[in-house]
Amino acid sequence: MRLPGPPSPCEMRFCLALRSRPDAVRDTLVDLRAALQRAEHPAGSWPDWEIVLAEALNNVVEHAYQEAPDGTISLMLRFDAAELEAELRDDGHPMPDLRLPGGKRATPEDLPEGGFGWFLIRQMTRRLDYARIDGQNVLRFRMSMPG
Amino acid sequence: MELIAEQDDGLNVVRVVATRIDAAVAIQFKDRMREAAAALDGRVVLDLQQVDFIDSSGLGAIVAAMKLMPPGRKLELAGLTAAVDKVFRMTRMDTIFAIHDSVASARAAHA
Repeated sequence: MRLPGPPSPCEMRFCLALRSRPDAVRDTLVDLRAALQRAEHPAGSWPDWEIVLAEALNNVVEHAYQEAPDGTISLMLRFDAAELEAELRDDGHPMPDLRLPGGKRATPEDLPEGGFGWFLIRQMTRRLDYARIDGQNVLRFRMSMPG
Repeated sequence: MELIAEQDDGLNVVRVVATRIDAAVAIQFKDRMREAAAALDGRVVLDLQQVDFIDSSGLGAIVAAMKLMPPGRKLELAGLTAAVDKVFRMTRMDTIFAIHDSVASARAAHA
């Protein structure tokens, strides 16, 4: 029996942990996208969440864990038809001054090879919040899906 | 991550045979581009048609690759998919590269 019409986009929740390694970040993002696409969730064809999560996770790998590959990052995501709600936790070093970096846009004419991450995160998220709780970094944000 | 360089009529096309240029391969990408750039003469177009995702490390690696080009030569880009295009536009790094829809349109430009 076939379902009438396409499935309606419903809530998808992910709760997972990954190692603090660039290849683990990549594998996690690839798996998440595949799961969303398999379920025909609209976020499966929405690139923004993957861009933001990549930047946030890479930041944990590079700065909180300072490239040490054995750290743990836990990730909680809730996608519904309109938005993503995300929470990342890690046991790495705290943000300097316990604050998020400002995220000014790098100047293209300077041919920057980095410094794009927090700009992208700040541009694409709302209710971006960082806290240090019980020795963990906790980063939370929301993202709205387009119409 | 594989880069395939082909030359045709003075146009060098370096095709990225990978779906992602991200933090996991950014250094490898830069090294391979350095090797490829050394052997190239004339216009260089980086074909990103197969790349469906780039992060800021990947973006930085492409900027680094542009700086590896010998003096007077520019790195042009072709075949940006949706997520790649978005990262270039949001960071305004699209303003410092010549960007073509495809390798064919890169070939047609200034042919």
